[in-house]
Amino acid sequence: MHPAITVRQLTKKYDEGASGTLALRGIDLDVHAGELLMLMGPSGSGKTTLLSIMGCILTASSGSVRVAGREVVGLSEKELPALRLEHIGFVFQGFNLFPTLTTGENVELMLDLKGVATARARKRAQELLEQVGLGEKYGSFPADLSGGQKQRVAIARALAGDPEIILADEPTAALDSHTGRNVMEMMSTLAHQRGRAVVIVTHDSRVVNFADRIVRIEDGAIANGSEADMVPPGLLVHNLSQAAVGLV
Amino acid sequence: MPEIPASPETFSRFAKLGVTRVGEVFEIGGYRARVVGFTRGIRSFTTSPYVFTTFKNAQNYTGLREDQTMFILVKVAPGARLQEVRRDLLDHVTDVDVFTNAQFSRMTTFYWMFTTGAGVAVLIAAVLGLVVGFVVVAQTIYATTVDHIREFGTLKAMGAPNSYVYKVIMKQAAISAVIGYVLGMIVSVFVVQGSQKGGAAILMPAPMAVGMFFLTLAMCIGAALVSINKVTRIDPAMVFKG
Repeated sequence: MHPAITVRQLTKKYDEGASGTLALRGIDLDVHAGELLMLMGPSGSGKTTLLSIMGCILTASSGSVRVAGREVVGLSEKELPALRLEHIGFVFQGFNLFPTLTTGENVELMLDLKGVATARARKRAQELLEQVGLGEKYGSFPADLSGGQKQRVAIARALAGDPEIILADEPTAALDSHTGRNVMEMMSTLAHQRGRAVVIVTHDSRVVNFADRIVRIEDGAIANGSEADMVPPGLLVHNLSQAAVGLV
Repeated sequence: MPEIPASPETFSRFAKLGVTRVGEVFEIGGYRARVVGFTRGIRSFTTSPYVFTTFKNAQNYTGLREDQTMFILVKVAPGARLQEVRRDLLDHVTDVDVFTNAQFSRMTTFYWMFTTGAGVAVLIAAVLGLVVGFVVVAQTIYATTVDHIREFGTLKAMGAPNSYVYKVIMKQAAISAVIGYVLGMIVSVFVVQGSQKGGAAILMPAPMAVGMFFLTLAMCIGAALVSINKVTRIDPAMVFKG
């Protein structure tokens, strides 16, 4: 089975030329469906840059990035939004909900972008909010929600486009321990029960136990060498058992 | 032509001259004149009222000779063709211009609008209004866009193409146009109604009102282009900055 994301010899340099800053140096990484991968490292190490490139938001300076089997390095600016819309869901540190839209409308927005008819979008948004435990908050505005509830709405919105890949940047940074744990349990469910490839950038040491694999980035490179190339044993067993019953 | 309602000002002007009823005798240019009737609906753009009388009396009142006659109003007989009568008059009467109602109306409009200070002032005020409106709308939509730049960045990160984002801004511009137009028309209706009592009636024919809507819409959409330029250059990576 092909990885959901494949990164080879990825380099990112800000401000090309002699005075440029090398944010990423020769990154090699695979992210598999059904795995929860954490990117950790000190501030400025390149974690968010790597996440942005995997999410087709930033372009690489050199190297190869394949998302859902498609090479994205070299794609034009016009092609990248469609790729994001089709394959990737984002969860942001600041939630990034639209304050003038209700909770339901925030989730519907993703469906509207995908061209889903209004009535169907409304129904799907309600279903998604119920899945994250916020069905009764459909008509509420983000200002009326707690931090944890906002992040769950953000997760519902990220799922609305049915993406194979979920990319989360510090999803628990603004949350207390208990709420952060709830959000991470949801992320874990997305990976292990729904087969998504989940990549989380985090500083939060409280949530490392949820990771199938941790990749440390330091000074733009992977700190723990060959570990990045291995398929996690737990994931390998999971995939083999799925194959055995014909579900893969 | 739209009907101009009667103006009480016409009567009040004659009242200022001491004329209030049919039959009264007064003086014009040293000659006695007797009032035989009052007109309705005639309005002068200047402060002078109109007086209708015989040609001979008019010469006496104004002191003009026969060859100093300025205008003669001609009515064609029923069944006669207007343009043929006009051509005949031009062929047989020397040193005159002959205009139809429509031609004279256009000439008068052109004269007052483009060769007098009053017309040019009104035009400049209208153009200024358009420019100010454009700037105000552009500034307002731009300020709103900047206030919501993070939301636009999130939209782009979610995968919205630029065309989707442009549609959002255009809708804002269209809403501004509709609201502005409705409010402007409400004020205009009151001004138009109020002007009927004055010396110069303001007219708002239906085609002009419709045309104003499209002009307002074009102005707002043009003003939104400044914001479109801004959102086109948003870097979606900004959504990762906390």
